[in-house]
Amino acid sequence: MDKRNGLLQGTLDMLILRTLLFGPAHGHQIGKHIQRTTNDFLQMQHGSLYPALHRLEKRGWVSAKWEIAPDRNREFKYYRLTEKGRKQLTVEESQWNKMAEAVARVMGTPVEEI
Amino acid sequence: MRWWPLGNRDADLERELRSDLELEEEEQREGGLSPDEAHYAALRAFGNPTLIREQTRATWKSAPFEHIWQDLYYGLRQLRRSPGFAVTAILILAVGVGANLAIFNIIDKVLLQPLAYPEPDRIVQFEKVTPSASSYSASVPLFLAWNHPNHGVQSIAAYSVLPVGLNLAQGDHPERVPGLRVSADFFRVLGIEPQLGRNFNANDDRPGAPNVVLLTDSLWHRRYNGDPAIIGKTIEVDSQPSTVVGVMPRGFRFLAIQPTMGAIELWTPLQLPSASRDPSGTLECIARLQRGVTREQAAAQITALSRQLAAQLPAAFPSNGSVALLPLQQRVTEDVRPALLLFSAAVALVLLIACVNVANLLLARLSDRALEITIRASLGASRLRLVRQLLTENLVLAFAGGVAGVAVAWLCDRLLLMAAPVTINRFAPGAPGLHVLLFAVAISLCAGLLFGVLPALRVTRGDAGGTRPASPSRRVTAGRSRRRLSSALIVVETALSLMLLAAAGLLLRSFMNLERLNPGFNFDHLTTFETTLPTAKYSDPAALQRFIEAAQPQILRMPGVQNAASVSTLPTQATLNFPFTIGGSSNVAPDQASGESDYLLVSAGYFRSMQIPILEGRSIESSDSAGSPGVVVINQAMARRYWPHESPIGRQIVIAQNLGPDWVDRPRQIVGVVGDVTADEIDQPRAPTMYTPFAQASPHLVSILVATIPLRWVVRTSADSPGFASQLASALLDVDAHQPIAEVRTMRQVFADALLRWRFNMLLLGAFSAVALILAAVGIFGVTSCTVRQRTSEIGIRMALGAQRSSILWMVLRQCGLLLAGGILVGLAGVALDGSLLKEFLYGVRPVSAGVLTVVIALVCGVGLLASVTPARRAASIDPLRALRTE
Repeated sequence: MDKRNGLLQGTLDMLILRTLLFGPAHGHQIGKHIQRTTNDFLQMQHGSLYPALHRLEKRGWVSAKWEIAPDRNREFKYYRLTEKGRKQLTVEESQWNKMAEAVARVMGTPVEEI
Repeated sequence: MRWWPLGNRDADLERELRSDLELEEEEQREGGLSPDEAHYAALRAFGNPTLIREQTRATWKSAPFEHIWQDLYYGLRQLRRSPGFAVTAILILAVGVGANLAIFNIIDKVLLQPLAYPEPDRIVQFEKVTPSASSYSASVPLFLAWNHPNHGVQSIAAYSVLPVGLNLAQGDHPERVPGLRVSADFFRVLGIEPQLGRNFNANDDRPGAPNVVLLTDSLWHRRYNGDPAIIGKTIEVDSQPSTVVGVMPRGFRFLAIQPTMGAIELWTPLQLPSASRDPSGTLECIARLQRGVTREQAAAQITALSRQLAAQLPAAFPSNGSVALLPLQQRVTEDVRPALLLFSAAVALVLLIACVNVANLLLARLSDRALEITIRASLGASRLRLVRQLLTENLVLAFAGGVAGVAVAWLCDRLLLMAAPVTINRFAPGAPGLHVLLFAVAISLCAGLLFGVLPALRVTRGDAGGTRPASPSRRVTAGRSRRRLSSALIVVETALSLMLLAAAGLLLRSFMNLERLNPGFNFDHLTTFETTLPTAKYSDPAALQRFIEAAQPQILRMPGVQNAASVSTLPTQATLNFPFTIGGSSNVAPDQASGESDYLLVSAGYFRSMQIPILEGRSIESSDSAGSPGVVVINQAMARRYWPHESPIGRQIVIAQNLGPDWVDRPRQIVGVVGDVTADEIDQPRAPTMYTPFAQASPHLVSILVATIPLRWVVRTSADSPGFASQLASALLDVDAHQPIAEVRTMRQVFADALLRWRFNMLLLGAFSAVALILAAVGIFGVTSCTVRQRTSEIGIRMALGAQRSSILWMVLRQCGLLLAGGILVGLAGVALDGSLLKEFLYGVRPVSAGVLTVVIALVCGVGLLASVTPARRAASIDPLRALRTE
């Protein structure tokens, strides 16, 4: 991972897992989705997703398979969430929430506002 | 081309990334961009594909190995692409590693490997220590006092200090072989049993017991064809029938003493008289300690025993003395250790120089590769990755250098052993062991890191490599920091070479001083040889005198012989040393009334044969017989020391008066003073010396002499003639048909042999420093050439602006000269360090010698400038037009 998004190292993994919760997707779709849902806040090049995707696959949190896209006559590598990945997502979400809460306290913002 | 075992996974990633990029491109086109614009926009949105590929691969577990394979592959490819650089660097490393390996192999065999006896750390050597001196020698009563087990000592043994040549006279030709007289438990102390037959026992060692011998494996094979039936057979040793009781195992050696005549082949019992009160130190002692007993514990007990003896026999042990026990290994290696340490320091310097040299080569080459490195960096290679790749390349280089170094070391060791004095080559280093090869690997890798890290860090540094403009060839002057580094390396290299050269120069100077030393007699046409006389036949003075008087005319009768005489020891050989007392009406001070001096027994005509000048009085003549009054001739050093203000002629001295009743010698009148002659150690000052005729020697002295040292002869001829040795041998056989001769050498050879150690040290250090100088010259040449090449356009501009060719030449040479001067200054500081290490290797020259330094500095300057002349002239011949155009 690059230094610029090093801060988001764990966060990126979580975002990917979260995206896959809605169903299988290929790299391009995942990238676009994250960009769209964060309102382009994460100015990342979606190529940088691939190291993360491969890392998740290696850990067994996602599985990958070449499949024909339903809307085009082309094969893409589709990633889907595994059972293990689902559990991991809940772990990461709870961790994230704890951290967000902690950060919010430090910054003096009421938790409800997040 | 794919060289790492990735296969599908890699293709898969490729396909995945491509499909994403294509999709992105399509979307961009649909957004209304032209195909070209869409392509770039897609790349922008996607990121750097190479970097992403790298990072993705890094998440696969085997990635580090892939990198290594990849780096190795790149490394080999880079080397193959520039064979000139590769071969030069490998050769330089091979020399550096090879020299270290060669010396380490010898050090390993000599100093590091334990003696080839069971549990060698339990074997100790006795050393007598007083506050002022220490000595290994022990007298017979002292050994007998020690020889009571139960003091933490399992067994103890003595051997004669002087190995003797023993005449083997079975069959048709007599032969002299080196033998050693040892006490009964000698082999039990070493823990070695004969491979055949039996060991010596206490009965064999009693005075008057039947003669027995043990053979070494080599003698058994050489002379008796390895026949096992030899056990129990009787052979003639020194005209005495002796029974062979055993054969020692193959490879058994005892290295604590080194006979000049070669390795010991025959062992006989000492048969010491138990009632002896002889205080002269004719023995050395070794012991095997009991398990769990420290050397200090045992030494304390032994010291107590020695003090008890001193109470009864004061001459046997000094009252303030003690006994130290040191590992036998230390005794065995003590005379080679300093030289080996000196050599290892020298080769370490050579290796350093080699590393500096290769570092400089690398630096020059890496700056040629700056473009490549810049491209790699801008394609996304991290600095760590680049440094790692460059280091891997260097390790490939270092490993190749190491392998070549093993070959160099093998060759070196062969050459070394041919030239080495017996002190070193008796250890006969064979094939290097596994740990020596590991040492080779270790020093190659260290060298690889040493020469590789600095250039790799330098060239990948942000300002020098990474963000350099993509076209470094546009730059007119070479990188300042790179040049500073390579200049520093040249300074280091010059300094190290200067240190080595200065050391070699000092050794050369010492050797020359020794060789030019006036020996005090005439070298030319002087032949020497030895006869070992059997004790049974010749141990009384009359018999010895008869032999000398019979042999002398036989030798004189040979064609070309002018003079011949016999003597107890030749110059450069270990000389007897005896106490004497000055008697009669002499007005010497009381504390000068006795002393110790070197002592030689000579036959009539010795001074004539040697052409030693008679300064006063007369020489020893045949008229000085057993029946005539006792005479002694002294040398100038003795006359000056004891009779500084008067003539010693006519004075009386008594030799060996206080050694005990056995030794009582007749009073002798000084009849002559002769010039000083080189004595046992060439580098020692001439000691006071006494000469007496063999004919007047006491029976006890003759019996000791004949038993311990051979009789030496000097023969003055009118010219050197080949075949003289065999004529001499047959002349002596006419006197005694059982009497072989040995060690036929000219006096020049005797001196050359004595100087062998000096010569070896000098040659070796000379060779190392020559290598260092050549490496330094190569380094200077390489760096200057590289600088000139990189400054071609700068020089072109200077010329276009009107610089003269001569001023360009001068500019390059001046730069080189400055570096040399810097190196010499730094080196001079190092020379001061040399001094302390070298002190004991020098003769007649101080550790910091202006003369030697002047020559060495001139040499370094000369070679350095010579190495830079060619590049300087190339710089001066640059065509400005072409230099600017080809830019």
